[in-house]
Amino acid sequence: MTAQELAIVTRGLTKSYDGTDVLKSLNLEVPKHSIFGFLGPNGAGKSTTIKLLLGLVRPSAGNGSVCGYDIARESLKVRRRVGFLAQEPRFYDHMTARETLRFSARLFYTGPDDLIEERVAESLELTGLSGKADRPIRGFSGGERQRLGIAQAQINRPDVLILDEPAAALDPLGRRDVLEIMERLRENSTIFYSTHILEDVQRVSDMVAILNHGHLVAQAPVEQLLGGADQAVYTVAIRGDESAVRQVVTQQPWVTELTATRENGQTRWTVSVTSDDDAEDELLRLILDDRSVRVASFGRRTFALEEIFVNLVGGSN
Amino acid sequence: MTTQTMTADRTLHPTPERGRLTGFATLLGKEMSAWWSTRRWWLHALLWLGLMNGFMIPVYLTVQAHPEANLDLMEQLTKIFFSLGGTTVAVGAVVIGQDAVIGERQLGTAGWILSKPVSRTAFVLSKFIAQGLTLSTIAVLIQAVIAYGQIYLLTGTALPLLPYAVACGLVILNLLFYVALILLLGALFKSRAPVLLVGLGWLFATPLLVDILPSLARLIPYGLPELGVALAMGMPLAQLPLSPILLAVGWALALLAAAVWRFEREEL
Repeated sequence: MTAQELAIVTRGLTKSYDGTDVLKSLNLEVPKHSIFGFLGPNGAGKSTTIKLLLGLVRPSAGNGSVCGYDIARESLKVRRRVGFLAQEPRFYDHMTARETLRFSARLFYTGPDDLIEERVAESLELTGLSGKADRPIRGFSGGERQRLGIAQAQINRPDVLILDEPAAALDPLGRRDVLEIMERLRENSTIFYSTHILEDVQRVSDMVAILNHGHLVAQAPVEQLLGGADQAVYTVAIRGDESAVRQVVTQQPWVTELTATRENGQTRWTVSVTSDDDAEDELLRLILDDRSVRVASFGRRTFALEEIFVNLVGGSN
Repeated sequence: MTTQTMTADRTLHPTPERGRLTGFATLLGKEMSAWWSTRRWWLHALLWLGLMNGFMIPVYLTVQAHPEANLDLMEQLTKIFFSLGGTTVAVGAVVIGQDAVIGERQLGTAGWILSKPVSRTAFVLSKFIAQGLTLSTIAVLIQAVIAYGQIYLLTGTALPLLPYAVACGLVILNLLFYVALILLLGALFKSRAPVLLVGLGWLFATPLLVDILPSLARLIPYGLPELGVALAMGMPLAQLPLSPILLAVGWALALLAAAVWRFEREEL
């Protein structure tokens, strides 16, 4: 992927506090117009990464860029093109939602007041806050604050939206609404968001990175991760004597492992392969060449994200 | 003139990049509106009225009740205003300003603001100017006008206007020094207690230190309110020493620069 196709890039990005690395040589590539889920357990370094991207903290080593601008040397240019929602969004309690959005908009734009007001009204509409626009924020619920957080984050129509745990504090309906807003915003923005809600990632993300103890342990398109990153796994249910064809399949160079178990009068194969193309072209054909067996089912095994996440980070936590 | 140039520009443009001052105007507007668009300003104005002008009548009654003491009423009223002005306004600057940086850092609004195209210098400067302007207006200028009127009504004599105005300027300069000091302390410390302790400690320990080591008065801002009293009481303007004024201006600017320097390095 070329630099022009990437919204966020980090190279060896490291952050240490008192000699302890909380982020260790992070190499991240976030494609433009993707919804990029940044996963990891608490304390993995997700919020630190976000703060580094926004210039709120300085890297101890390495570098990064957002929209082509260096996060350390060109932070103001980065922040002009980015919208940010903090994990627990805080605003000035004496302001109303409309005043907060007006203030946010004025940090990005100069121009006629009525155009600013139009932009503010659009943001209120997008996040369903029009009816509460003139109420002081001090009376807002957690969900309303989160919506206001998203409204102010996208007020500048950013190229990149950085959301830190956007749905963590919300009830299921609030979460659903936030995910819907994210899907609407992806038309114009790259969305980079940290979360530990795996269900949400599986639902809306194109790409996922998993961070653990400051280390990047996986980074891949969601489909690839769910399909098994290095090795694809196929499952086949066979009726009849499959011992001969099993020998044939095991000898294929693209098959790395084949395990067979008996279940309800069928033999269930789990076949690990190095090449999806070879497996898709050859595997079923090889089995069906043996006229003594019948195939009851055939498919590529997919993993639940939770399973992958636990495998990657579970052992060390 | 062409039609194009006559038509008002009806589009939004990105705010101009002003380097270290990027975002300053919007932040200053926000800081000022936090004072002037809420009831905060008049509540403070009332509070300062009590603190700075509330003693005039009791002083007047005391002087009237003791003619044998042969006290100059105008001198007593002027002294009470400027002495209280020097100390009370400085205490106010410390107490009100201690939350300016720390409060925003603890609440998380500093991180929010600085995720926008806003420089850290603009963040600190907007606070300095908003607090300086607001406290100068509410705690000094409004009170000075009321005090001037009270002194005239109670003594029947108007104080010379120009020396009185310059005396008020010295109180404002003293105030600005403390606003800058507190911003620096807020940038240095993570909690309010040391900010208050050092700020108030400086205020109340300075006279003691100058008593012990008089040459210290030539190095630190000291005695501006006392100079104000002397001016208001008739000291010719030409005799006003410039060194304490320049020293206070220099210190205020140095403290402000140090606050900006420190906040630029702050990890939020």
